[in-house]
Amino acid sequence: MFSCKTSAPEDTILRSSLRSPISLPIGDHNSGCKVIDLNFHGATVHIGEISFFNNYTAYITIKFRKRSLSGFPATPDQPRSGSVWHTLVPKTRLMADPHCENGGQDFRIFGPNQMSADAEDVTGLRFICKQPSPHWKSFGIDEIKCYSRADMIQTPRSSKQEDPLAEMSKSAASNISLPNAGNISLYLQNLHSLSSITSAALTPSLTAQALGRFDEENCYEINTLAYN
Amino acid sequence: MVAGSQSNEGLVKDIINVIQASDLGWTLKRAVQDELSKSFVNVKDIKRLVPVFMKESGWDIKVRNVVFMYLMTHTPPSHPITPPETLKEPMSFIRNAQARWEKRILKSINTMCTEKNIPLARMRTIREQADFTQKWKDMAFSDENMGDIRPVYAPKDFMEVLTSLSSPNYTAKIYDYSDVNERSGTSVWGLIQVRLHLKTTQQLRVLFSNLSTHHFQTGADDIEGPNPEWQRLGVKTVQLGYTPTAQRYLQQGCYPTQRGDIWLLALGVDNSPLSYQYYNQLKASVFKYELLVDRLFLQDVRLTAGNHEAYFVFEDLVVQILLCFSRDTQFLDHFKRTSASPPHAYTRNNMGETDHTVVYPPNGIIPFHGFSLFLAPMCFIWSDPVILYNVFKALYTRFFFRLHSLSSHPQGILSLCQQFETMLQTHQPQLFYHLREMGSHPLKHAFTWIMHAFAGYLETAQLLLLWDRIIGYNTLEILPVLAVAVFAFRRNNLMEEGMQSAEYYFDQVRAILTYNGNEQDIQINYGMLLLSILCWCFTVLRVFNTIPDFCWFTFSCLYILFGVQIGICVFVQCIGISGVWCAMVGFAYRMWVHSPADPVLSNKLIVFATFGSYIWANFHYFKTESNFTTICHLVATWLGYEANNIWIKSHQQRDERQKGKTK
Repeated sequence: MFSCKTSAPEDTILRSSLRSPISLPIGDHNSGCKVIDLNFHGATVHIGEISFFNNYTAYITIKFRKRSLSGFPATPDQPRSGSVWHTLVPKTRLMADPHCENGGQDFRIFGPNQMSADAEDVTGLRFICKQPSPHWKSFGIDEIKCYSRADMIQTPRSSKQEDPLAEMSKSAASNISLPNAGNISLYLQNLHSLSSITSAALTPSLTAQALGRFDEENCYEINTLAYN
Repeated sequence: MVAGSQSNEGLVKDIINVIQASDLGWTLKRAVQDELSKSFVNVKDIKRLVPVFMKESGWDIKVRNVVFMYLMTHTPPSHPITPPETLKEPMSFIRNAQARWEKRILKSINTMCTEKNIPLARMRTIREQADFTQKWKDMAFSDENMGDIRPVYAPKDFMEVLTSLSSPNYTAKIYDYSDVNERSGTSVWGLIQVRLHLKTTQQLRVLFSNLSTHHFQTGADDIEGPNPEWQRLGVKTVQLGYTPTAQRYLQQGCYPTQRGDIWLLALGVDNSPLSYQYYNQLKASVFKYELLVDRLFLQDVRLTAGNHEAYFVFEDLVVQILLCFSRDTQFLDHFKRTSASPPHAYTRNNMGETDHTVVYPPNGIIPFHGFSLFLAPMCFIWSDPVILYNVFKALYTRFFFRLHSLSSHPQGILSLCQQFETMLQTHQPQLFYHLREMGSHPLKHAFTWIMHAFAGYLETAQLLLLWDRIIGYNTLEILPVLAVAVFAFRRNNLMEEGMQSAEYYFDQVRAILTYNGNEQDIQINYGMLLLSILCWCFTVLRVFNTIPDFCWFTFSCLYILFGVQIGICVFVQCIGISGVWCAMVGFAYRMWVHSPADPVLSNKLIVFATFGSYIWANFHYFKTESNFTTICHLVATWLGYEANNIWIKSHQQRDERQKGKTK
């Protein structure tokens, strides 16, 4: 069983179980292909992002299985949608050269931009890992985490900023008795200085760094270095 | 993956923050404000007028330069859930190796402090500060005794770490059939065991396409005199003030007269009054606190830059700048981009409190043997310490920091060394194999060239032309290419050196006999050899009836002793002839003790002088050399003593046999 423990808020991560990787052999030999299945305890989820640590996998394909929409049994012509694997992320190169280390232990995130399909009503995921190079003792992917679409972690976006000039122009047009532009710029300058001072006060560490202080409480008397 | 638009948005925000926090941001705002405060400007037109004003007044080029520099030196913002350690270095075994290496350095520094009883950092008293301020200008000639301070590590130590590094998941074994022997598919002939993805020769050709012979190259195509066309282009580049143009110009090198301006432009160095103020602040920190690192820097400058025929005149300047460098906390930012981490320490007030640790030294960088060579060559370009400092800062945080930390980065030292080995194996396989078989692996020579970016190994004019290209191409990958080129250029000499084995052994014997040119050793050992021969003459001569017999015996012994000595030296890779005189003194001592007393006073004096000198010389080497040397001396003496014992016995037996025959 695979438990999802991460430093990120737990409610954004989908609870899932991981089946141990299955190697696909050719006779007695390793084919360089492994399959890892992930299910969501019978729940259906909307996946926004998938993250994992690569462990020397050169190429990866991610497939997903949708919840069955019809209750009828599957026929050879029309298999049940629940038993069909759809491609979520097409074959993607994870290592620049399968024989070389680069990319072998990278942290990878697959978001909507890399997904070729909408991962809605997903009941399970299948990771197909390929490593054509025989130089690696083992390969796979570790610490797989899936993030739901609703709770998908966003890169902090700046809030929509209002254009002060547009506002000024608007008010200038509506209010004829407005003081001249020189006064406005003076007020704006004062306001800006005030905001700068406030922001500087709110980030003391940044200020200290900018000033180049390296001592602690005006003391920098050291006898030994710390090992950790 | 981060969505493209989000990524760009984050990037734009970061760049805006950088511009706003910089001196340029404030000056720009002031200039725009002055322009807009002119009476004829209407509020409605501000949005339209600001870009026009910026373009007309040249501010847009300055802003473009800052944006360009940011894009050149920073990676795009990462996704918020990316673990910070993977941003520093994705490969866990390289991260761990770097951590072990750093711990080793820390232990070494702590041991040095404990042994020498020196604090790592302490505040100077007011009087000491005044004294230090006075001798600031003559830092290199300060009377501080540095004899017992040694560099924390040398390139050789770091190379051992690099060559011992290997991936735990890698195996060279490809086939494992029971009926087939193991076959190494990619047998690792080089010293670097980690397989990293490198540029192919074709990719390097494309990258360095402007280095081709079709283009004019400063330093190569202007032997008859400077190229006026290229100089005019340099003047135009400076006038334009655009960073990408300056970088492109440097790809083909620049002339010394223009190098200062073009480097400043290409590196985006802004020598504003604020930077002078900042430098003075760093100087004040140097006066206020005394650090152990100061001694390391001072010692390094004395041993390397100060000891170099080209850079010794800049010794004071180099020391001053390096001391300020050690106090600059702005260098801590570059640790976000490297696997290295700055050392931490507890101040005396907060011993053991993990929340109150400070970085030691303040810039987090421990110097190694030859660190000052990164700075010394630039003293030929500028004399102002502030400009020098700013340029050094830009070069270090952009390039040089990668040369002494373990990393899988394409410009990291690991990749550069592997690039060197791979290229040499590809293009000079015979040479590579030959040197390897000779026990003189090419990387052992090229490593210090690469780690020092050829500083101290090339003439300054050539070195600066090389650094022009590093800045121009914004990559260190030219270093292994040059190292391979040097080997290829000297190919015939290197191949011949090994082929002519007689000459090789002759050189080796010459090195053994001349102590590699060490005059003190030559004087001591050949003096002792002379004394021991005299002593030998006065003690052994009495046993022989005729002079020719004695001479034959003496020369035979000397011949055997020198033969054995050279043979042992070649075998164990050591130098010297001390074994010869030790054995002779041992032989003579046994002779002197067991023979009737010599009545001649002068003979006695020479013999006693020899024994006294023998004791003095052994004591001297006991103090200066390893214990192994002293043990070898004593063993040689004992062998000489025993040889005399055997010889005397055989001599007596022979005499008795002769007497028996005559009876």
